Amino acid sequence: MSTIKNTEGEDPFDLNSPLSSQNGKNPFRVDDSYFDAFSAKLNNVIADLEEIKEEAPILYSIPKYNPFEVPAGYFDELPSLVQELVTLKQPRFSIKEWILQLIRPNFAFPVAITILIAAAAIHFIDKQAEPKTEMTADMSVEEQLYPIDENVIVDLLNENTTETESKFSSPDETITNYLIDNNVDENSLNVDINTIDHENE
Amino acid sequence: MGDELKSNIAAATSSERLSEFDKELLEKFRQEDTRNYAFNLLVREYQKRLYWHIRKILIDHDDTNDVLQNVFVKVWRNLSGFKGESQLYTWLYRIATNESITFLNQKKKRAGVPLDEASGFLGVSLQSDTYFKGDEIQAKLQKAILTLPDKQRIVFNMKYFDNMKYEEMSKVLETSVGALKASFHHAVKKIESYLTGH
Repeated sequence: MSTIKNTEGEDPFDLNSPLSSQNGKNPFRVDDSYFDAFSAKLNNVIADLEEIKEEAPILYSIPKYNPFEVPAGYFDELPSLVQELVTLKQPRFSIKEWILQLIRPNFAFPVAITILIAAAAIHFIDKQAEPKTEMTADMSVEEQLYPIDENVIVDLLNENTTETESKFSSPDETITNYLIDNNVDENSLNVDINTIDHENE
Repeated sequence: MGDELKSNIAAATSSERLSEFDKELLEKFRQEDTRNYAFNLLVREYQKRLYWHIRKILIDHDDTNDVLQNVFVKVWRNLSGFKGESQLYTWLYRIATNESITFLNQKKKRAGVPLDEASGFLGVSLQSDTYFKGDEIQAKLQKAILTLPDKQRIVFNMKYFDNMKYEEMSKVLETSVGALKASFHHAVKKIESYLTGH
């Protein structure tokens, strides 16, 4: 009995294990042209090195390796950093996407219906509003006063008359009242007026 | 058909084709619900190669980090438009190279260095870099590389350290293979001359 187990705990010699179904075949694959390309590439590298060896022996003698380093963990962090960056710089809605969205039937149909309903509603509201304005302008004063109680109108007219009277009472009456209030003798005023007339002559 | 020609054609076609991984990644990126997942996979897959490519151009880690983040933001914005006519990593390398050169030119402007001059002033960054683990001879080699004009330096690094094929470099740098071969040849000569004299 076999005691060999793989990482999945399977016995490779067990006829029912997935590994045994490979029947000794190589499970790995490469492109058909890989080996041709590889040998061509290798030949090129060797040829280049030979050329350098002849032309530049000092350069050829220097070990060829990358002398630069990166901070620890740099390549582990870079993908998420780049992802964040492109998400930030990504425009939320491009014009092209907007147009495409508008053309889509599942979006365009409801939008068209909404626009039609809105246009119809605006038109209806305008129609409703127009006659009202005209009617107010065309109605006679009597027609406009018709719904108001008659007593209210009479009271208002009386009030206005009193106010008008008090505002526009005769100037003589006002002068007399002023003279009485200030204790001015009317005769003395007449004397003063006559004196002024004589002086003017 | 000769064996050499056959293998060259195979190599060329394999380099033109998108790998299965890249195809799947692009498919997932195009679907809104798996876009973030696909992008995260892309970053994990290519971050090291792009980092080292940029780092060899800019030397300083913090500058490299800034540029690399910009590169990934550009990739996020433009990946939907990537048609798969070249390998994904060729496209990524091109973005990284252009971003690095732009950054370097801005740095030169601030330092009052003419744009067409070599980036020797980066040698200061190299000396003060806490993330440089090379010995004296490695530091000397890096200083020698910094005496090259920027484009020649990039060509040298891609060929010498990354073993990239001229055909691939040609797509990244949008330069003919012949010009790249000549550039590398001149770079090797200059570095050798620097190492001999110092």
